[in-house]
Amino acid sequence: MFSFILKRVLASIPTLLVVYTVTFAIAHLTPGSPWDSASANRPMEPAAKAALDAKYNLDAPLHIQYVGYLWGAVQGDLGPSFRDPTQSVTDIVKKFLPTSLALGSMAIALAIVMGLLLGVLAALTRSRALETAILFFCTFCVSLPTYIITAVLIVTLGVGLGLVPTFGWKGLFSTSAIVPVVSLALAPMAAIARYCRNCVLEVMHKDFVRSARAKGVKRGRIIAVHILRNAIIPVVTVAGSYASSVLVGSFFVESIAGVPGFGRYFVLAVSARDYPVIIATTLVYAVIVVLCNLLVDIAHFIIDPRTREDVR
Amino acid sequence: MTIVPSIQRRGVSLLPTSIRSKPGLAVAIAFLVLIVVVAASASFLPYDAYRQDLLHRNSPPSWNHILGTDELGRDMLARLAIGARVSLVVAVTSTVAAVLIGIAVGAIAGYKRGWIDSVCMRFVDSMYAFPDTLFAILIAGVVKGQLSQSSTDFFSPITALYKMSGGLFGVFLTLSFTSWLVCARIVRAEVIILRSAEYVAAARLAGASDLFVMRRHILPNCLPVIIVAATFVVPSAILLEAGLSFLGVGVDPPTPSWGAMIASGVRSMQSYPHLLITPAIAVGLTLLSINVVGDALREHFDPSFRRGGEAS
Repeated sequence: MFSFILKRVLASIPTLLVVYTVTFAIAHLTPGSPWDSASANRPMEPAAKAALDAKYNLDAPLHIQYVGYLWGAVQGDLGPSFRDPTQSVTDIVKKFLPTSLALGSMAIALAIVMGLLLGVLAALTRSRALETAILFFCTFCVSLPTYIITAVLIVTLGVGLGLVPTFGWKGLFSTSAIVPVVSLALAPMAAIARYCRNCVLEVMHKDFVRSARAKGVKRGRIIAVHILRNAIIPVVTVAGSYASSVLVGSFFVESIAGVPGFGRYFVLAVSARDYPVIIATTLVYAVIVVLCNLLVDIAHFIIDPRTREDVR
Repeated sequence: MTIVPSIQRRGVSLLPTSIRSKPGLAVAIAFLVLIVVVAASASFLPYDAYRQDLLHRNSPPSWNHILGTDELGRDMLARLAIGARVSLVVAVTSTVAAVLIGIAVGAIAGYKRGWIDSVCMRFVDSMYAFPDTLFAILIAGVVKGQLSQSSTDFFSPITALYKMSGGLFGVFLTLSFTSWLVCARIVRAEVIILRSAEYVAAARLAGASDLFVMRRHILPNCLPVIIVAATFVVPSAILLEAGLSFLGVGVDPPTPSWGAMIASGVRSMQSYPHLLITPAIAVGLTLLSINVVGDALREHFDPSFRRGGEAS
């Protein structure tokens, strides 16, 4: 188990390097300099610009900047923020990421629970109408962009019924969390429900389920032990692939609902050409994606003994 | 819910049987046809999508303006129609481009195997560590920055094209760059299976060149999976285009776009909900219909495909 985890961690290093390289290239390919917006209104002395460049090491050749930033990042120093000189990028990550992580974990937990329930219900129900209704609801949720869901929820629950605040954030366990959590959870929930249903349908006709039924195992136990245990494997994969994007926060949901999260900060950084923030945000995203994939692999390892043979 | 009907269905031609058994599919196709017709006839509508009427701003739906007017008094129906054209053109062209890139990379990697395969697939895997919205925003920033500058070098025809299309071309480039990954993976997996087929070995023995085998035997047999891949790309392209325009890095104003319309609708959703509801319904229903049609296509071409494809 330990060597398996170690191998996966080592294998993720090239991935992170590719992400860093691509982001670095993109950030520096963007024309213009970070000081453009500041100098648009008040022209800046070339000497002042050069001094700024020198301060932030922007006058060094690109390959020196590439290695220098990477060296700092490995040690936990993500550099200064250009847009907001009073705080370092590490501070910004510490300040904004926890909100998004809390919001995202809540959303993904809700998605997994509701998705499993809906999926199993759709697969096992005798009512054709209920099955169709659930499936349609799932297609509906997968199709709708999160910003529409957020906006519609705010208009109906917030403006129409007055149940939730229309903007702002007062912590995870307040009414202000309802809209962002639900809008983040719907799409993964629908995807999980669909996969879960397909798997349950597939497993239901397997020999071991028939044997269990033949020897008189109770229906509830068959569902819980024989069917769900097998159906949950792809669900873990889907949940993992959604988890990374949900955990780091959605720009749309956060900016519409007014959540001071990581996703919203990224959009601000892109428009301000704040290189260290852009690179750092992307790296944090990539690390979370890699971690989620690792968790999925470990979960597979625990749930499904068959995958253990693949591990060399 | 047995396996028998799907096996029977595979032999019969797709559309007539499926439509008869699925009223939802018929509605979805009808809606898509309607959207295409509206988009194509946008120029014949009585109102100009660009003409401002500052005396009748934000007016709710009425007989003069069936869907009301926006914050500058422009007719919402006309803007929705042009927006449909923008969305569809961008989605279809960038899907074609992305699928072509995906086929090229996937086919070469799958056919040649060896180090080319490893390099390509390591790269594709690493790119999956970027959440797609984030990557699209990054790329869109670069593309927009590069192309909106008036340069005289070899970029100038592209720049001209970009300006002529009102930013559409930039969105096209962004979407093509970001959405080819799924297709590359799917095509590669299929090519690996096909290249070990007996007729491929026979053709090789008869002296056929790689290019001939590829063109004559492998790619035509990949068509089903390519269509399946396209069914994933089209809705995500529409979603991303709307998302980019929503954030202001997509289509330039005053060109109407569904995403930009939703963005301005969100800004005034508390006082003028019709500005949000109409484009939201348009985007939602279009994506829903495309997904319904996509589901039917996927089910037709490969009932077992849904698990492998979506999880990637």
